Amino acid sequence: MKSKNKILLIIPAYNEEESILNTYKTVVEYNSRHKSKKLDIIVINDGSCDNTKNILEKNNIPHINLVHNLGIGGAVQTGYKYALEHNYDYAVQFDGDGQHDVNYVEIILQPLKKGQADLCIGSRFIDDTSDFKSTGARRAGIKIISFLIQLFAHTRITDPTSGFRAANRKVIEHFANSYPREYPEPESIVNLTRLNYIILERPVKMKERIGGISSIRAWKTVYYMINVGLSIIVTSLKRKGDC
Amino acid sequence: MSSTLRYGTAIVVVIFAIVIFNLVRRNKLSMKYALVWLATAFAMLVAVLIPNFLDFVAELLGFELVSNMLFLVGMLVLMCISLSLTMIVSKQSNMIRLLTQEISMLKSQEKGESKND
Repeated sequence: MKSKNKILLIIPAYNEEESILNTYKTVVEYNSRHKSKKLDIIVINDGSCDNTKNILEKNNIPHINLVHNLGIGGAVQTGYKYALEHNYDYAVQFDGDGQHDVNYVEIILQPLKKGQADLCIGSRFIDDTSDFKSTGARRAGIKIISFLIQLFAHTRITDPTSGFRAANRKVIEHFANSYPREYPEPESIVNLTRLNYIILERPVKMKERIGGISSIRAWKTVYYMINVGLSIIVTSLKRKGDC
Repeated sequence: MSSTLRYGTAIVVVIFAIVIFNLVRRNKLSMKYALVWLATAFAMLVAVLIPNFLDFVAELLGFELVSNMLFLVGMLVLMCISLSLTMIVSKQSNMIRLLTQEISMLKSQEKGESKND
């Protein structure tokens, strides 16, 4: 076989007892169909207080239990650190709640394998691949974030909050060292752009969540928007030497 | 300012400084952070012990009342201290995050939970 790329799925899980096993099974099933493109998995259990930990242990799902809750940014970064330590060529962030479809992993990996991009985001909004496009209020929020990123970082990203993203080795190294904490996706886009990494998007299909609650709850939306907006602006104003 | 009030205030400030020293002695406060409070106490002590010092400064800076100046200065000092505290908290939470990640990875590796074959 030709030099094989090692690919890691980073699956952050916070109280995902209802969906994590299903997510794992779809990946195993995918691996049995694509023997040459096997995807490794690491589930980052972010201090869940439900049964997630037991399910991970019982089913021998490769995982890391964070000793206490760090929030999505800290959890995903742990995955990137694992990817760096174990010499993965590509790392793909993948939600444990059943929103993302493993069959699209190869599609968002393509631009990285061809050397066209350093980070590739799976987007719901490029075309009609995804019939599920989130609720109205949230879509408006995403539009605003997208506009702010265009304004301050001069890149057009249609789905800046998408947690379905593939990173090459360069970005894995960067994220392992520096990753935003609270609302990491939009901020990391601005930061990578500032540091001249190339970001592309590919259309993907997303489903409605199987279980659990989204980390962006409705009543937190305003707080979220202010926070993300400010972090986009501040990040775009960072100097060259800052990481 | 009456001398009773001045000496009264001075005694309170001295007690405050003693409390700070005691906290450092019992390892409840590190010297690094105690210095800010001790410096504040020292400045207050000087200000109340020199007769008419506060009145003089207030008039010089154009305050109609000494108390107005004290409130303003006090508020500014407290704001600076709490800003530096939030900076310390941010730095520490970064350190805690790093430690949590590293220790969690080590633990899972040791148990073989994180192994991909």
